[in-house]
Amino acid sequence: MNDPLAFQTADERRAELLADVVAAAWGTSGEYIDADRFLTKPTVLRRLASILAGRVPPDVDRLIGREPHSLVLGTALALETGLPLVVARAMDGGRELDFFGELHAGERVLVVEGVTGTGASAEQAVRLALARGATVAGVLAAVDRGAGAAGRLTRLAVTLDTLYADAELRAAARRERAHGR
Amino acid sequence: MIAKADPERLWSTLRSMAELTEDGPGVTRLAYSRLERRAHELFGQWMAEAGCSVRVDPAGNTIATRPGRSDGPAVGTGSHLDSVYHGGRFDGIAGTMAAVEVARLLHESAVTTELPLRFVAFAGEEGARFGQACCGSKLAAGLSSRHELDERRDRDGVSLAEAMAGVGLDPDAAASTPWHPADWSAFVELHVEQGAVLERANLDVGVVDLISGSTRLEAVVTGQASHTGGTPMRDRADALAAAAEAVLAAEDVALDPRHRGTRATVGRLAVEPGSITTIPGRVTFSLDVRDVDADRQRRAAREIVDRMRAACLRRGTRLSVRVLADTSAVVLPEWVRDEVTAGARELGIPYRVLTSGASHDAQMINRVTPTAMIFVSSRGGLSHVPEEWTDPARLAVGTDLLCASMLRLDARAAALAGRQEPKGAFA
Repeated sequence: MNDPLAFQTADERRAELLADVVAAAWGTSGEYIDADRFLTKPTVLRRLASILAGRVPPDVDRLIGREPHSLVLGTALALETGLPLVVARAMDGGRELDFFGELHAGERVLVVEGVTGTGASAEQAVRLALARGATVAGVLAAVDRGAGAAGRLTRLAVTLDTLYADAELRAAARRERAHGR
Repeated sequence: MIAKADPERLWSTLRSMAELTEDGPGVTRLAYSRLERRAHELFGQWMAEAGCSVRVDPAGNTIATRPGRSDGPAVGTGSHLDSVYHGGRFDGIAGTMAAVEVARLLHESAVTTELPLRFVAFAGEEGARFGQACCGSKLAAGLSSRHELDERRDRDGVSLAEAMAGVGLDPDAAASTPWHPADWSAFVELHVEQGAVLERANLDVGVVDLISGSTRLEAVVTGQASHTGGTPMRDRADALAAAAEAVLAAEDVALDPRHRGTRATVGRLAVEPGSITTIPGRVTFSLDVRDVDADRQRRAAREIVDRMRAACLRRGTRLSVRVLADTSAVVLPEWVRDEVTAGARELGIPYRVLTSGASHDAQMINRVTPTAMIFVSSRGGLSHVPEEWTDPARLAVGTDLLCASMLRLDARAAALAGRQEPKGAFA
């Protein structure tokens, strides 16, 4: 490293963040990752936003973050990138989704998700954005549980980009508990 | 039913340890010294009396095992027995003595756990002698190379490896035989807080969620040494005046509202030629930036260096910076902490969740097995000084919490390992 202030490689940083995400949020309430646990820690959220910012396509006009936890990540990413944020909020007991803030026809949006599961929530946001005349650059998630989101979004011709896959978290958590054997 | 920890007994154990010291104020029991080994022997003797089998690993960590109903991964606890120069009686010792007390309580109550428990006295935790902290636990975690043991030297030029060999330990084996993760299910270290958060909140105990990382830099400012009388102020390139601005820049950045939790310190500064009548030509100083937020720590270090550079440029001096060490803050596994806080609620012990600014053996052991930390209130927040004090009654509360946490973790590990008898019709 020529720069004396280049402290770690991107790979090291990503691996350390994975360890912290798992420590903060894996297995506290079962064999899965709890978004509320890792998105509420600045040391985790700051690095997530910083790393995910590099994956926001250059032509995006707005970020969409859904209440509750994806909005946390969306806010952090808006601060990191300077891109304006659209708040997605479930109405009518969750059956309907609505957008708050500004969104205009012809704008290009990126849907930000903390953790994607079946992808139903992301699909709802994508469909509403399209209905409002926006184009969708993709869905960007910190963690994908591998529960069908990618396939569901592909059918809408939207790509899912994720930082960590479920298998990776699971492997890190196993390493953490390998002593059980 | 397990009896409550006995403050009198804890205090008497602590006092016996404090007697093992070099002359001078406070306690001086340095890493890998004869005195430290005697403290370990005493610990081993107490643990054997409490029904444990005791061994010493190649790094000098003393490990006392208390058998469970079945063999398998153990819940561990422990801390260190060495001190800084003229330190206090509690840093490290409090946690090790709490471990002794837990073993005694379980022994007296004839409690058998599902799986074994282990009580550890770590060797060489303080960086005071060799400039490296957590020697014993780092070796246990497989994070130190044999080469490092030759590199690190004390102020008399004795290497860490030589010191280890001098007290009958084997540095080669120490660097090549780390602990096995499979032998452990979880670890809980009790330590004195070394800060005043708990005292201010009038609480006995705290539970640690994050351990700070640190970025340590060495900066050299080069100006022009010259006669203090003959050189007009406007013609000077005073390295110390530039370094003084750098020190204040570090403080200023860490005091910024964006930096709650960042701590920046210039703790060492050498001025050359160091003469009353010569303008300082060269200043070498350290910068230690600690943070519980990994990225922010590096950004703060960069920002401080940028401001130093600007000051040096303005003053016609040169700045060079190199990284001495750099570690990230660590999130301690929340599920282990959840067992500790559940234990606190069970016992009706109020607690606070707080961060640790100092590094601890727990940080290294977390690389071997998921680890939690319990802090016990420090009077006035003082540590590394002879006045260091923790009320034995508060330490007893922490010990009760430690005991309860270990038992909860043991039950959890046993359940996970499927070692508990299945209940009901499906048996």
